[in-house]
Amino acid sequence: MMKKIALLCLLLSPLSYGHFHYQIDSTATLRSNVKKQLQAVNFSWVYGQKVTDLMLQSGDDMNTLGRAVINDLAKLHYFTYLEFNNKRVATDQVTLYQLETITINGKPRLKLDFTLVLQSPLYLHGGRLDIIQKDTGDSASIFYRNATRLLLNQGFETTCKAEVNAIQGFKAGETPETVSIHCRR
Amino acid sequence: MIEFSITWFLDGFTHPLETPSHLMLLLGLALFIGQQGKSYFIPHIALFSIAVVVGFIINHYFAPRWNNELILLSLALFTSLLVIFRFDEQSRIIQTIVACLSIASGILLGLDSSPIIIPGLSAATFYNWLLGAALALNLTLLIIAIISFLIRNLFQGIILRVLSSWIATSALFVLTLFLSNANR
Repeated sequence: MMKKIALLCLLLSPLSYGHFHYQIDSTATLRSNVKKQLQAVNFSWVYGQKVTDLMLQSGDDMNTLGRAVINDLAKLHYFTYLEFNNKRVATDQVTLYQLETITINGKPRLKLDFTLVLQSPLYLHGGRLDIIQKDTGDSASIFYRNATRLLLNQGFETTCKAEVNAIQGFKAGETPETVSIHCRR
Repeated sequence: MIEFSITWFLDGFTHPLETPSHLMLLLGLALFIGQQGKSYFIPHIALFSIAVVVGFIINHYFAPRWNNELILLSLALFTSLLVIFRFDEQSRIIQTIVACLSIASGILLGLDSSPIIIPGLSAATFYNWLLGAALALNLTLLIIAIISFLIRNLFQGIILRVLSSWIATSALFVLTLFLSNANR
């Protein structure tokens, strides 16, 4: 009997994480100014099929839905924190954004583009920029999959190297990867 | 205007039923309330219902970050043990304990029920999810408490005590697994 109860408990344990989870496929592009300082990061998020269907169910047009998404994301810090050499980088409220539908495998998917502008431009030489993306509600997991999803433009492509590493023991709703850009002097 | 969404309602409804610590506490409390007879049956259920809403409100405005899972499991264990011992139901102390446990369990279950917020759909998901979770918590407690009340004297009350011993054992197992994982 005790073995059966123990087995039942073990089987039930994963269910305690039974919240709704969804995935976002992200691409980040670093934007520099003429002094080759980091000025902004442009994110392009493609929502998973299930959450896309739920959001499209609302019947709102893309402008209304886009505004609602970005207003809600603002309260959640856009799920995004930038850190340079382990120090938080201050960013402004997002004003540039666009929500649209794209087609993947014959099905519509939501794609959100937004630009996170730094309050003060930043020299990346000799340091490490971490992009930490976390949903505090533990529902969304934001994936880059590999370093090709981190686009370094002309200001950084010769001196910086992007790195994406999967986090061991990742559970749905948590941060799945460490995402960083290492720049030499 | 917030529209009813069956998806989010069901997601909230299944949350307490899919979460072992919630289910154990609900079952333990329902057996305990049912075992006490009819004198305070409805007031205890009502206290629990109000406490759940209070828990939702506290969670929404203050979002305390303590370890709810640990407290819920301990409370489930304690409640189940009280059913096993089957104290005198007429005792004023026991009736006070049932009332306190109903309030504490309601608040803690409400606190541990965080609705999913998807940016862009926050209002719709939030209220539909909470409605589902509240209904599931109250219906589960009510149905199990009624069944417990009806069978409380069957075989001199042995059935409820055996069921409670299973809940206590399950709570103790999960608590042990939880603590051993936390100490790794």
